[in-house]
Amino acid sequence: MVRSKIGYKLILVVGIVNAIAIAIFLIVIIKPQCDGLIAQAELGAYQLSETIKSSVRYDMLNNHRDDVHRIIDTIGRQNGIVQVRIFNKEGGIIYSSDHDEIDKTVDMDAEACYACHTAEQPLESLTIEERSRVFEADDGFRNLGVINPIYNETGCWQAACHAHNETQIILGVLDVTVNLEAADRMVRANQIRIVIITILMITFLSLVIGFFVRKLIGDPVYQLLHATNLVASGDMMHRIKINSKDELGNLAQSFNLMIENLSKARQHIYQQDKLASLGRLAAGVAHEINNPLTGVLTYSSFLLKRTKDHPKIQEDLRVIVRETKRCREIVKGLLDFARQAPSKKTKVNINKIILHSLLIIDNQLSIDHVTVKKELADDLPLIRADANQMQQVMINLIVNASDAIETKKGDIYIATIKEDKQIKIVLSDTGCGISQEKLTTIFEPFYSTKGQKGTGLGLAVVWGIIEKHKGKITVDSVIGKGTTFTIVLPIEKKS
Amino acid sequence: MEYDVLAIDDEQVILDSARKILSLNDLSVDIALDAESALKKIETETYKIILTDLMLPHISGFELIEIVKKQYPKLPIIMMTGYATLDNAVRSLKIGAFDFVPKPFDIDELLSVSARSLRYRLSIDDDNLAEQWAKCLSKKIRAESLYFLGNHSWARLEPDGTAAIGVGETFSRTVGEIEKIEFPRIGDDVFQGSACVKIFTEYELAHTVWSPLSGEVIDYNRNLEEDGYLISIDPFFEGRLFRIIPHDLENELENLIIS
Repeated sequence: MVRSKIGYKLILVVGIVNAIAIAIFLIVIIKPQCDGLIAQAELGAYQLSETIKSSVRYDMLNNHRDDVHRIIDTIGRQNGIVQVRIFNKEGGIIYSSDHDEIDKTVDMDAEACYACHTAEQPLESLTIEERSRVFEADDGFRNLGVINPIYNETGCWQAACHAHNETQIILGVLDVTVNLEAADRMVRANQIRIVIITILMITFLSLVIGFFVRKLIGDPVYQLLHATNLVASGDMMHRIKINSKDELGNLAQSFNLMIENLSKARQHIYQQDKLASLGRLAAGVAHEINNPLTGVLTYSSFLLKRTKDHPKIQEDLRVIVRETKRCREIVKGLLDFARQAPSKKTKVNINKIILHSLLIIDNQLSIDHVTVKKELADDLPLIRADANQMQQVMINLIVNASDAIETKKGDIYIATIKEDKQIKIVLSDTGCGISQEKLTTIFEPFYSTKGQKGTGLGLAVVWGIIEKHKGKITVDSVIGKGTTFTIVLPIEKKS
Repeated sequence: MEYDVLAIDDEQVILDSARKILSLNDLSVDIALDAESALKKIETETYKIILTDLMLPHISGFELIEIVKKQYPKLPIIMMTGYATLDNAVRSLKIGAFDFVPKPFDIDELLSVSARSLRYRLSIDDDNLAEQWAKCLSKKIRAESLYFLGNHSWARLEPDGTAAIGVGETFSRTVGEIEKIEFPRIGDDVFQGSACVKIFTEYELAHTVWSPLSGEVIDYNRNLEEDGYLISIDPFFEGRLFRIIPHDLENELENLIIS
């Protein structure tokens, strides 16, 4: 919808601008051409009237009226000539190619007369433009009339007929009317051609503009809109394909980045919520289970004391005591995860904790053929954290990393980085990796890939500890390539 | 009637196991399911020590300690706490509990702590011993300004920024004949209110020392490896346990009592 709306609006605007431009073009170029045609026709008509005037001059002087009539008739029949008339001074039509008009008198207001007779005193000379007049004939084409005054000359008043006296300046007017059909047809044909070309041009331009508007604006805007709607309806996985590097391309890129961050934030909040409720549940279970566990532990250890002379029973009882103590550790882990165990925050050096943790699990690492590469920042500031819990975090992560490497040789890379208001701990391994679907669940309690070997609480505890330190832990993984955990801890300002 | 122990918990199984365990040492145990009935019993019966849960309905373990301490200052109270409530354990020591035992506990843990509290009770009931007690809290200790976690353990701030850690007299005089001491490893961190040293004594007892401060262990008193008796005769100097670089004096000193 909107795609076509923007496109149509642009096409409409461009079309209107086109039409206006073409109209201006017409006025500026075509109008003078038309005027030139008329001027040429005027000149032709004037020349014709001059020709008639000189042709009939002899016959007029000799008063051969029939010859004059014949000449005028002959000329008047020619193609393109509408009428040839000669008026006397009073407006009487003396000669005409239209015989019906002869001897009729026209009014001074008649179109052929008003050019001179509008003023009080009739004009005696006129320029060519002033002598001509253009009017529309009944057939729809225009006619051009040219008047040519017939001046008195010696031969006229000395002639034997004595029709004119010496004082007259103008004896009459020769009026030649030619039709402008040819010119008009040409103009019309031109006009039609121009209109057709204009329409074609506007259509073509609109199509071209439409195509580019759609390609450059419409499609990207539609994609943005589509993506916005998808995101609004909760699809955080949708990304816009970026095809250009223009502003819309940048916009799409920013949009993608925004959705990326939004989805990360949302996932983090979701994870936080989920783990918080799991934490409450775990804490509740742990509290409830503490008392029964006390019962089992005390009774079994009591029996252990009472059955010193029954080695077989003792053996079994020891299993009960050992497993109950394992339960105790799980409960302890659960409560750690549930952030119920208070942390003892002191100023700690994360580098030192990492080195210390590595020392603790050194044996395990060398057995697993794991090489540890360290890149610890020298300028790492002390942060307020629970040293024990941080150590637990590092040990859990390093043990996981070395477990992920399994039996083959591999590397664990540990780095600390000082950033503006936080420190970053990066721990990656070249192990088996974690699939994308599992990445969202690894921080949940009792998620374990180690079967009997682990409690499934390791990463949940890590999450709980990092949350409690107002930090953030993220994980990236590629199956077969390895996993990277990134921990960010805030540097608190000195109080 | 006269009992050795009054055990208070809202869970029968805890009371039963306490009774079973303590009867191993021929201790007579009376029980109460809440603080109100316990207080009534304390009025009518005689008890040597009290073993109480922290989370009790209506009147909590803390309130119970305060009430009992006011009326029966000689009656030692052992607090049973869940793991999650380490701060509560520290708090209970501060307001006067003799010691605490985290749940779930095993038989040795309960036997050890009850043995010590019984010895303490016997010693303060004995007039001669009571005199010695008075002497113990002598001038030299006051001058030293020690920070006590209840009467259980102490920390002394040294001029070089470290802190010496040791046990108090209620511990040293009741622990009995020391056979073996398990120190924390140098470089390890210890935490306020959590176990830092285990002391093994006669009768297969194992006593836990709760650290008064958090910090990194920098050395321990090697003389004690040969002669654990030093703890009993001079707990504040020769019998000190180990030294730490404290992590968080600012916040943790609030939980301690200055002598």
